[in-house]
Amino acid sequence: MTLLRSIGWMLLIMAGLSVAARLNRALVEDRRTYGITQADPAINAPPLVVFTTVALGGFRGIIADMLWMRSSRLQYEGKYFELVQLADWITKLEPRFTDVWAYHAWNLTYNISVLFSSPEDRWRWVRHGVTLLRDDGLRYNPDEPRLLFELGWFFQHKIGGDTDDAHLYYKQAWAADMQSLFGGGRPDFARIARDPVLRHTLMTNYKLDPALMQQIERDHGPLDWRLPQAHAIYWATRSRLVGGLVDAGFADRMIYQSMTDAFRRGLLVTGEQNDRFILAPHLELLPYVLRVYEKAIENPTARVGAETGFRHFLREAIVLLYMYGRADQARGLLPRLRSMDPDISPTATLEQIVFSIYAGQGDQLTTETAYASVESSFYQSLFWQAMGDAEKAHGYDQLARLVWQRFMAPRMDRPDLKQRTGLPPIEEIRESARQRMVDSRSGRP
Amino acid sequence: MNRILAIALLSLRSAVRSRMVAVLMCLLVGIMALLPWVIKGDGTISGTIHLLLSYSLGLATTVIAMALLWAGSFAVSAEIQDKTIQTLATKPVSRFHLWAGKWLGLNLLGFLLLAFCGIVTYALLQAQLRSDRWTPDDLATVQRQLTAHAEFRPDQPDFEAQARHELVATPDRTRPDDRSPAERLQQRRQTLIAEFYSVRPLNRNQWTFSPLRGQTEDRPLILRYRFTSSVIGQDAVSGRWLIGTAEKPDQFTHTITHTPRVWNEITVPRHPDWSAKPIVVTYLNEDPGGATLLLDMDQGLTLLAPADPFAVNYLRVLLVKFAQLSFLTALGITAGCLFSLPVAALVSMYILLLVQLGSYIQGMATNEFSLTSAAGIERTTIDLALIAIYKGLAFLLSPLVPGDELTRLANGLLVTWWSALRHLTLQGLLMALLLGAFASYALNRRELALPQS
Repeated sequence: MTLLRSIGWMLLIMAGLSVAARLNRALVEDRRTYGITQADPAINAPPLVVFTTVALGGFRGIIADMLWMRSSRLQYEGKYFELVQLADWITKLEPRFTDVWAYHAWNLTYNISVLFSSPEDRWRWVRHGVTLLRDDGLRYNPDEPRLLFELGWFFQHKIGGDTDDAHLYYKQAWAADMQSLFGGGRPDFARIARDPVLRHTLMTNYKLDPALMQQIERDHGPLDWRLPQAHAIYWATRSRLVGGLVDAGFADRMIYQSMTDAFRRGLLVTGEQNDRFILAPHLELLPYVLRVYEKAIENPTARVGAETGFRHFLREAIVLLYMYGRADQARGLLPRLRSMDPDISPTATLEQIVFSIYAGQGDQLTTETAYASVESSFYQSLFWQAMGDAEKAHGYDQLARLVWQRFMAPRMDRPDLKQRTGLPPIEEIRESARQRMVDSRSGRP
Repeated sequence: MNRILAIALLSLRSAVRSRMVAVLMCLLVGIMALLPWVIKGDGTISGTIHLLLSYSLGLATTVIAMALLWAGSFAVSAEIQDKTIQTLATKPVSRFHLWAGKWLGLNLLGFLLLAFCGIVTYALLQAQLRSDRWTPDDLATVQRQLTAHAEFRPDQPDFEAQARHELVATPDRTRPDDRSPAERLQQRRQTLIAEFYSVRPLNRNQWTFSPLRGQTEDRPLILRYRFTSSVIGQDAVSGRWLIGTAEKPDQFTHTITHTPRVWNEITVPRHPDWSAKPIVVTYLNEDPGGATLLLDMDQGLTLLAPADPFAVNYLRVLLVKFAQLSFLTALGITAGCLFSLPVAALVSMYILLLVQLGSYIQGMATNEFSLTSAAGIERTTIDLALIAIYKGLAFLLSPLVPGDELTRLANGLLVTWWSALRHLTLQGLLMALLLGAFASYALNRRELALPQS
């Protein structure tokens, strides 16, 4: 009798649960329809996270607070061992709270990494931040434009920029990762389609969708996927695809800034022995960068910034193109620059404009522009040497050495500045220019 | 004594049979087996070892404490509830013997569980060290981390007396001062401490350490310090450390470019003079950026001397943990003597929760600012009440809050035999017996043989 009663109760409980489950779907749908819920149930969340968020209810906020307090205390005391785990727990307790993900990833990538002196240690923390956002944050919030943008920002600014003393190490470490994946800077999409292991690694470990990468290649040109700009563009594009108008504005800005950066230093020169790491201008991207700016200007939330950025880009591009002996291409940009920049005289020649821009920048050359100036002068020198004009070749050689010396002079007594923003040794740049000339003669890009 | 042992064996058997204790033991095994594989470290061997020691052992100790508190609450209250206590109460067994028997039995259970966790954690640690994930450099780092080091701090002047003397001898009457004498004294004291630990640009500062008497080891010392720089955003500061005696202050010199806010360590070969004479540590601030260097005023400058192998330090930490468990067991049994089972269990768990939150409560009590709603400008009655509650709780919990022994173990700092012995006698024995005396008094006052009891 007792057994029968127990079975009866069990059946009743199961029936009740079944009805509740059916009703729950409709209730969730209604809550979503009427906008009376802050968040849908966590998507893609593992059972432990769903259990934690449901079972702990409001108490999970208190636990998250306590963990957060511990995390802050440990960070203040200089004890970093637990911070990855604490960030993991805190974010899992609030899996739909994007600010929490963004804060902790930022904290690991920016605040903690810089506390270490060795580049290897710093890179480990930068990776922790990237991994937290990419592997977990996006898993629970797959269509969250803010997180996609933040991830892109890590690539654009932390890895791609040069504000961190260890930025070159980050770039090299990331490039080594991508090199092992793609075997070079340009992914072979046919091979990716054929090779299920590679495809799986790409999509599972790096969350890179080959279809979207191909789309980006079509829209933004032949990017070098070993470099961070391509990845910043990838994540910004994903953010743009799922975000609203404002998110699209932010994403557009990241895209045109990263494209500018890729034009400026988006060509990785590693040498035949793979023993060099030189970032050189990627001039083939010019039409794509122009298109990206034109498109961004059409977006009302990005227009003002895009116009300013475009104007600066045109000035920089004209100088770079001229330096690399592409005067026709540089001349082709002049009408657009004249229409946007009132400082440019309508009657000035290309040479006059280049000189005024270049002289104006004299004291404020960036490392990339300085590098480009030196390398392009060497390029010209080698070109004219091959043409048999020794005098001109010597002149360009002198110019290259002059720019290098002037740029490096204030850095010679400041090892930190030299390490962060200095140029490679002059003979190394000359060798890079020679290699570029050999490549251009053999028809290689 | 035989009576106590007999009761002890009975209570051990009863605890082992308890379902709740069985569930907690399963949880314990689960923690020991799974936790090391699911915890995310920072990717270094030091971080991995640190987490293994502090998380696995820390969490295991908490679960054992829960099991013992539950078993302790259950031990007396359940017997009173189902009246089996009457068979004992009618025998010539004193109430204290009854309490002591239960306590001894459950202590034995706690000892066995802790020993199990200790052995498993040690085995996991050894397995980690044998893993081929780590390079020889990693292993050398972790050997240094695991060796127990004795800490030596610089001799400090009496800042309080010095501040008092300066304020009396040379009062500053050149400008109006609306601070109270106590505030002036406190601020002067802080300034003196800051001056003691700071080094101005292109200047030097010296600290004297007592001789390393009784240190027979010849392995090198470690100078450990953390500092901040007066130049905001500066990532590296350069300078030079000199270590020696008053007569020869430069027996060891080390030029360094070090990083603010992180722990910096320098290996210092031991000099024979340092066992007999005070050690003088000098820092020359040679930073071209003009930064003033301020050492961490709480634990800013420490000389670490290798003292004991890891295993010995580990054993002492386990003893300290055992003392804490012994006290919690006593607490559980005492609660069981005072209340019925559900109330006793609830009270015990509440106390355990408070003990676990003890460090936060103490932190909040120390930092009154965090309890003040109006940013410290005007304290409301609620603020004052909150501050009083936190301070009261912190005072009550001070003997119960677990120390930082696990952190010390993981950081390679010595937990002395004296510390272990002090915990065992004070917390594990004396405080527990005090609770026992109180519990037996309460049991004596309680009528155990009434039908409704």
